[in-house]
Amino acid sequence: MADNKATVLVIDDMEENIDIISAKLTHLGYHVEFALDGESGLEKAASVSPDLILLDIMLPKIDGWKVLEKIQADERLKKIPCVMMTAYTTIQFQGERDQAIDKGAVEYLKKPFDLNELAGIVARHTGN
Amino acid sequence: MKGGLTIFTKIFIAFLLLAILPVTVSSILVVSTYDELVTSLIDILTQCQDPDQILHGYALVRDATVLVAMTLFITIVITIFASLFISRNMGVPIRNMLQTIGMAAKGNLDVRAQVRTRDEFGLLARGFNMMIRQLEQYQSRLEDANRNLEARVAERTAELSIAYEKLKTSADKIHEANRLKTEFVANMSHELRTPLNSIIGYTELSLEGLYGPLEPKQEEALTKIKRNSRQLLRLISGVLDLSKIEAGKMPLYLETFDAMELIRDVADDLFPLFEKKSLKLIVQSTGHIPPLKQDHEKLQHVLMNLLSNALKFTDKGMVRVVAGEEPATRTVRIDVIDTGIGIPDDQYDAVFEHFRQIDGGTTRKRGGTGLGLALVKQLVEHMGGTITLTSKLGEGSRFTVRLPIKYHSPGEQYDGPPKPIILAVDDDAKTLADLDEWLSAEGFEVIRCRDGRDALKKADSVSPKLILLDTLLPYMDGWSILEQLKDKSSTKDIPVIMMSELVEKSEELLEKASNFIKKPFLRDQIVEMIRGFEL
Repeated sequence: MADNKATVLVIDDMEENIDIISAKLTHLGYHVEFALDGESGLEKAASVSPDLILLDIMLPKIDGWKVLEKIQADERLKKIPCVMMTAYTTIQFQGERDQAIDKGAVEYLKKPFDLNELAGIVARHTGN
Repeated sequence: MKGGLTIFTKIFIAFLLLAILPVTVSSILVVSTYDELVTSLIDILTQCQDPDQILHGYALVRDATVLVAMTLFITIVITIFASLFISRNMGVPIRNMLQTIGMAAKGNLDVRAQVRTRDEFGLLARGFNMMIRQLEQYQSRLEDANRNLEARVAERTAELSIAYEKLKTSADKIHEANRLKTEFVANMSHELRTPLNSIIGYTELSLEGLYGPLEPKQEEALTKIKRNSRQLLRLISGVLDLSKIEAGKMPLYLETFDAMELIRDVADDLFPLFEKKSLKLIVQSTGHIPPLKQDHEKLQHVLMNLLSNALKFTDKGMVRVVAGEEPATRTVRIDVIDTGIGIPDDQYDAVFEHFRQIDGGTTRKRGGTGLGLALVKQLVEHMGGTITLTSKLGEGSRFTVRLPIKYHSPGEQYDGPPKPIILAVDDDAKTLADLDEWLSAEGFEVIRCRDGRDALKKADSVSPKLILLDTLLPYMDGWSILEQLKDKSSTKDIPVIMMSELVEKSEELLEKASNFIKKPFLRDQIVEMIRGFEL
C-alpha cells in the first residue's frame, strides 16, 4: 500500500479531524492535502487536483453544500468524487444520504465514522 | 264579529222582545175587554132612544178607541227607545273594551280603558287597567333583566377574550420556548459530538498502533475509552432524535418494502449478540403481509431498539418476533416477545418515558441509554401506529407494534387502487433517484434496490409488474440475476428490462430479457419503453 500515491483533499474546519483522517490515510499510503474552509478548499482542489475530496458540511463562510455545488459547476473539478461528512445527523440517515447523493456526492458519512469504513470508501472511489 | 250578530244587536233584540211581550199581552187583554165593552155599549145604545145620548155614547167609544190606540203606540215607541238606550249603554263600553284589549294585544301597553261608570263595566275597565299596568311592569322588569344580561354577557365576553389572549400569548411563549429548546438541544448535541469525534478518532488511531506499540493495560484502557465514547455518542444522538420528533422536525421518507425482509435483516444483524448470550432469536410470520408503504429506516430503528431491549432484559430462553397482517384495519402487527425479567403492571407507561427503566438501578446493570423505548414510542406514533405492552413479572414481556400498511398523512385521502410496482435495480443512487422520480410521475410505485441479492428477494416478496435491471452490480452481475429470475417459477413471468452502459451482450442472454436500454438514457426513452408493456 505504501506505493499508493492517490491524493486526498480534506476540507474541514476542525484541525483535529484533519489530523485524525490524515494520520489514518497517510498510514495507508495516501497523500493527504487539507484546507480549513470552503474557499481555500476550492483553491486547493484546483491547484493539487486530488483524486478524492472529503468535504465537511459545517464550514465557515461557505458551507460544504455550496462547495459541492461549485465543484459540480467547475468543468475541471466536477469529475473528482466528493464524500460529504457531517456531525449533524439523526436516524433519518438514509434519507439524508439519498439527498447528498442526489446533489452529486458519492458518499455521505456520519461523524464520528469508523476509520476503517472511511478507508474502505476512499479506496473504492480512488480506484483501489 | 263575523258570522254573528253584534252584542249591541243581541241586547237590543232581547230588550225589544222583553218589552214587546207584556205590551202585546196587555194590549190583547185590553183589546178583548175593550171589544166586550164596546159590544155591550153598542147594545145599550141600540136600546136607547135618545139620539143625543147615542151620539155621546159613540163619541165616548171613539175617544176610548183612540186613547187605547195612542197608548199602545206610545208604549211601543217608548219600548223601542228604551231598548236602544239600554243596548247602547251596555254595548258601547263592551265595544270600547274590545278596542282597548285589541290594541293591548298588539303590544301597546300604554292604552287604558276609560272608566266612565262605577258599575260592573267600570270595574271591568279598572281591572283591565290594573292588569295592563302589571303587564307593563313585568315587561319593563324583563327589559331590565335583558339589559343586565346583555351587559353581563358583554362583560364575560370581554373577560374571555382577555383570557384567550393571555392563553394565546403563553401558548406562543411555550411554542417559542419549545423551539428554542429543540434548537438548543440540536446545537448542544453538535457541540458535544465535535470533541467526541476527536476522542474517538485518536482512540482508534492509538488502538491501531499508529502511535507506537501498546502495553496490554494501555490497550484495555483505550478500548474502554472507545466503548464509553460510543455509548455517550448514542445517548447524544438519542436526545437529538427525540427532541426532533417532539418538535415535529422529522419528516417521513416513505418507501415500499417487505416487512418480513426488514425483520429478518434486523434479526440477522443482531443475531451474533443473541448467540453470545446463548439466547434463541426466532422470526415468524402468521401469513402473507402485503408490501408496506412506510418509513423503512424508522421502522428498522424501532425493531432494532425493541430487539436490543429484549436482548438486554432476557437472560435465558428466547426472543420471538411474530409479524402478520390485520386485514380489517389494514395494519401490520409486529410482536416482540421475550422470556425476560418482565415489567410490573404499574410500570407499563413508565417504560416509554425518557430515562426510565423499571427501577433506577437497572440502567447501570443492564446498560442502555434509557431513551430507546421512548424513541420507539415516538417513532411508531409518528408513523401513524401504536405500541402496547403486556408483561408478567419474571416470565417475560410482549411489545406489540401496529402500523398502517400504507401510511397516510393526516387529512390525506386513501389513494385508490394499488399502483403497479416496478422494481429498479442499480447500485448507482443517482439512477435510482431518477427512475423513482420519472416513473412515480407515471403512476408507478418504484421500489429501489441496490444489489442482486436484495433484488432476488424483493422480486419474490413484492410481486413487481416489471423489473429494471442494471448489468453491472456488486456481488452478482445483472445477467446472472436475470437467469435466476427466469429459473424460478414465481418470478419467471415478470418482464425484465436490462440497463447497461455497454452494448456487448450475448444473444442467448438477451433472449431472456424483455428489452434492453443503453445507459445513459433520457426520461422519455425509458418511459416510452415501459409504456409498451401495458402494465
